[in-house]
This record gives sequence, C-alpha cells and structure tokens, in this order.
Amino acid sequence: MSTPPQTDHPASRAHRSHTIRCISRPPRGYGRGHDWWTRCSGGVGGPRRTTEAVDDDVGVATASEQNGGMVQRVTVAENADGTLALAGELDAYATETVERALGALSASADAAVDVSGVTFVDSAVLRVLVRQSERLVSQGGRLRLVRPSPALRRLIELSGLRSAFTLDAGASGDEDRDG
Amino acid sequence: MNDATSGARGAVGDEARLDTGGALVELVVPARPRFLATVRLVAASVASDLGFSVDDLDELRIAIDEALTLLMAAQPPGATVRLTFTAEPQLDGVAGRLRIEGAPADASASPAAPAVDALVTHILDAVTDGFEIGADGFALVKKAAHAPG
Repeated sequence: MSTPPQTDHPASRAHRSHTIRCISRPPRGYGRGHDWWTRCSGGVGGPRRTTEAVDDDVGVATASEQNGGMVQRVTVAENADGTLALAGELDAYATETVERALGALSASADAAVDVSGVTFVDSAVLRVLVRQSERLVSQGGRLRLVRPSPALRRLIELSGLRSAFTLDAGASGDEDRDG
Repeated sequence: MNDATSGARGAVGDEARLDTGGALVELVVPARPRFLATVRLVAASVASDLGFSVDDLDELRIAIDEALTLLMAAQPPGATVRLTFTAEPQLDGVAGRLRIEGAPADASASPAAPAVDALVTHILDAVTDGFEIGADGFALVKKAAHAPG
C-alpha cells in the first residue's frame, strides 16, 4: 500500500481559503500600476519571486475543488509565452478577480487570454468577459479567448452570446467569430 | 401565477413542487458567493448518486449557480440560503427537484426580489426541465433518464 504523496501546496497547509497566486513575472499587459507589482513583486521594481500571498479581499482562489491533491478555485497566471491565463471555477465570487485581471490588459490590437483551464463559468463572469471585450474593442483592440474549455464554450453557446467573443482554438491557429 | 417566472420547457406545476416528499438532502449556507462552489459540489454529488449523466450534472451545476447567485444578491446581510433537494422516480428516470430559499437573520428584514434578467432566464430555460422564480426563492427541476441497457 503506497503512501499518498505529500503536497507542498500552500492551500493544503492551511484552512484559509483565499489565496492569490503570484507568478514570477507580471502577465503581459499588466502595467506598473497593476496590483501585481505590489502584491507579488515586492513593490514596483522589486525582486522577482514566486510566492503565494493570502488576501481575503482579493479572493483569487478558494478551497472548493480537490484536484490531484491540489486545492484551488481560481488562478490568474502567466503562460510560458506571456499570455494571461484564467483557470478554475469562475463564478460570482470570482468576478472581481476576473474583472481586475482583464481590466489591466492594455488595449493592444490583440489581447489574448488562455481560458483552457476554466472548469466552470456562470453568467456573472460571462458579463465581465463581454464588458471587457467591449472595452478593448472600443479602444481599437480585441479580446481573444484562447483554447476555450468545454465549460466555457458550452455556456457561451447556451447563452446565445457566441457573436460577442473571438474564440481561438489555439495551436492550430483556427479562429472563429460570428457576427 | 402572480409574480413568478416559469421556464418555457415546462412550468413547475403543482405536481412538480418540492413538497411532494421528504427531503433527500438539506443544505444551509451563508448567503455569500464564496459558498457557491460548495453548494455546486454537494448538489452534483447528490445528483450523481441519483444516476445523472455528466452532461446532466454540468447543467444542474449551472442552474443551481445561476439561481443561487441571484438569490444571494437579494438577501440582507447575515442571511442564509436553504436548499432542499428531493428526488422522484419517473417511468424513464428520475427527477431531481430543488427548492432554494433565502432566510434573513433578522425576520423583520425583507429580502429584495431576485433581479432576474433575460440572460439568466435564457440559461435556466436551457439547462433545466422547469423552473419557477418567486419572491421567496427558486424551484428547479432537472430530470435524468435511466441509462440505456
């Protein structure tokens, strides 16, 4: 009988259910005024580091889902290519986090967000996505949702909001947008 | 039906209300969004035991989340939300029925009516087999067919 592997995930060491995952570099598009710099980098210009801070106000991640020993709910992170990645359960509790993460994206011509790790999403977050997409479009850019998960695709289709989003299948380069 | 809103795929009539049997599971949580995930998890577990398919479970989670989010937003501070989950055998499967009600901490504090918009109504209509929205809460019906064979 094997011994279960030990996990060193901070969320498994404490009952505190709100954590914000800080990553070693700010996601692309996060300007110097973004919270990331004060919460995760030791201040603007501070040393880069990888850490996990606890913050009840932000509420980025909560202990709600067991996944391979990892307890997490929502993460805002950065892919290797610098793309902002949203993952986890995106419900009304996550709207502020999602709004903040997307709101920090500058209106470049193409703001991509990897949403392949979204395991749940509801209409509250869908509204945020629509709002932020409209903001970027109004500023001459667009919000591109890369590799949308089945959960996200399903709610977008169910809600009849397919035309509001630019969906990108990912590596194949396929892109589809109605309307 | 006074101020209630019903789903187009089948209104929750008298025969479908949640007072037709004993409660299978009751769950009370604070009326705060951070508990949405907990409720989804419990409801999905109960429905899984009833034989719901993966797709049915996904739709149930969406329905509960949408209803709870609206109901929680309408509650005064300190309120709780009570979910009552019952199940009824059907000829071809089982019908899970949920009653979701707000309970203010102070009985004199009246919750606001849930602010239901077209998007939520559209989603609930797509993922349930019937729903009813009243001033005091929600009733949802989700049916699951027996597995073939």
